[in-house]
Amino acid sequence: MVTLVTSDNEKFNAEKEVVERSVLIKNMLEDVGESDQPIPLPMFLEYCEHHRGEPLPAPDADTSQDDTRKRTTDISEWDQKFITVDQEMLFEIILAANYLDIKSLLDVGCKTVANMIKGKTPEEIRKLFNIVNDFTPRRRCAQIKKENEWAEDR
Amino acid sequence: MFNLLRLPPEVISHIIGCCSIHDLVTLCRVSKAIQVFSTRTLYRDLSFNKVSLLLKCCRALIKRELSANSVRSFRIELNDLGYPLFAFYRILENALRLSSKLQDLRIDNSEFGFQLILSACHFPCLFYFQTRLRMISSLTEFIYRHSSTITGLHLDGELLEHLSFLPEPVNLPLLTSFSGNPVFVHYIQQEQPKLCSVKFSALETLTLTDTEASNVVNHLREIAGESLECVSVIGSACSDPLPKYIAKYLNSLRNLGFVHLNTLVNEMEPYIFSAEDLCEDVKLLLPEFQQLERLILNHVPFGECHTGLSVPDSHKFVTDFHTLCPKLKVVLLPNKNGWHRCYLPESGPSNVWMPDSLEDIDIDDALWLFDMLFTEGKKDPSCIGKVIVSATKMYLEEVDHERRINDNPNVDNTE
Repeated sequence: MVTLVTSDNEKFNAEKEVVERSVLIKNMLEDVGESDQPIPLPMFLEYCEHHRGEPLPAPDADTSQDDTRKRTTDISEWDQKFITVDQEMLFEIILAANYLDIKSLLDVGCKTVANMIKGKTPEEIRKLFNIVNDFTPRRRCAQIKKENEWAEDR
Repeated sequence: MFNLLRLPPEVISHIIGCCSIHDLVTLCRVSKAIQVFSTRTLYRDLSFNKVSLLLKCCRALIKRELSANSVRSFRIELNDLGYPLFAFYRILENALRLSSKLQDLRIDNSEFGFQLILSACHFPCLFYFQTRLRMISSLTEFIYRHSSTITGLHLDGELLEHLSFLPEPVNLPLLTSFSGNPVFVHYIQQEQPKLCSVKFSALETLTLTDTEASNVVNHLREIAGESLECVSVIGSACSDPLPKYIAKYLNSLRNLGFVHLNTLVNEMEPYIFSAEDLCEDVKLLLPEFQQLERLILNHVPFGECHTGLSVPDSHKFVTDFHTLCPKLKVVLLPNKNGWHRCYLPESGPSNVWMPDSLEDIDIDDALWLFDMLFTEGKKDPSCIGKVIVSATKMYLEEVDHERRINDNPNVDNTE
């Protein structure tokens, strides 16, 4: 058993196998060795608990290169429910998954954002994510569109 | 509201990597910062089989440095090339020269014009090069210019011996994998052996004479006898000269692949591929390979084929192979019919062979497998229990649970 403590001092007990889904926690446990000291980290136990027993990705698997896997935005039903939260929370989950190095959760979060982008116009995307259009003059947008036209015909 | 750009750059790249091509094109017009991320993904891996698309993309690469700098792999396999104008090659050349971070270049056309392009290009990070261009001086010079970075080479073109041009051997210190026409092996040199994988995949492999095959394999032994781990060959039979000499000179290999290719030598009597014949044929070669761990057999489906091996037949061949090569751990029979030696956590691989996937196995085959495990268990009771537990677990995961339990009450007994 491992004790995790959130930043607001709430304690959670979890099995080692469950929390080791986070590479960060796994490495910390290895560094600390056998100890009763609580580990001061946030939770995500629900996610890890659900996915316990699934094989962990190989430590050297370079996810950024694996395009065929990434281009699909399919998310399992359970993950879909888990990640149905407001946008602020979604970004918090992504940030935490990135910090804790939980590859599968980061993947689910990123795919969810990619699904939000799907089929939208540039203006809709700007609105959705609070991005300012800094192209000047505006006609540059038309230029860029023309340059990248080949990609859509592929 | 959360701003997407407040996420760490690697996370933004991850998100953008999940987007479709259509969405990437849209994202390029959202803002300058988002344009940088989406252009990197959009232009990273380029592959073309139509001239018009290639030209449009080349124009974009020439116009925008960001796009050209994003290219990492570029593959040309044009099937509508016809008789291109000189201008076509000039545009392609300009675009390629600007793509200075290119790592992987594949030119699967053989038109002479591409040779001219290569003469003008240098990519400081190029590590993989594949081509069907003829081996003439511009091509050998291109390989020579990139000899210090290339780790993988695939050469499928012809060697123009009638022009009395024979390339000088090139020292390729980082080369780990070579594939294509066996004759080109002669032009590879290595001071420190690094080459570990060789695939003779070009059709020229089929027409190699006995002397040529012996020379090729001998050269391989000289340059990479210590480092070579994996060799695969296409051919019509294991009695072809190349496999014969591989067995003779390269017998410390750990991985061996053999792809059967039907050749229409006699059109009146078309050859019918049979998995059994291939397996029997391979058995004759195997006694030489005492270090072999993986054996991969396959065939190019062409014409009539008899590939269906039953589970008991497959098991028989696999155990026969294992008797000949005691270190064998994995065997792939034609039609992706994979087998592995069961692994036990405490004692390593046992002598029990199981299929990789039990998905397509019917109940008779399943019963046969349990019988086989039971027989093996009598020989070595200390390990067999664990093998059965893992096999049963695998089976239960893959096959309908209800039917398993109803139809085969033996599970509990054997455990």
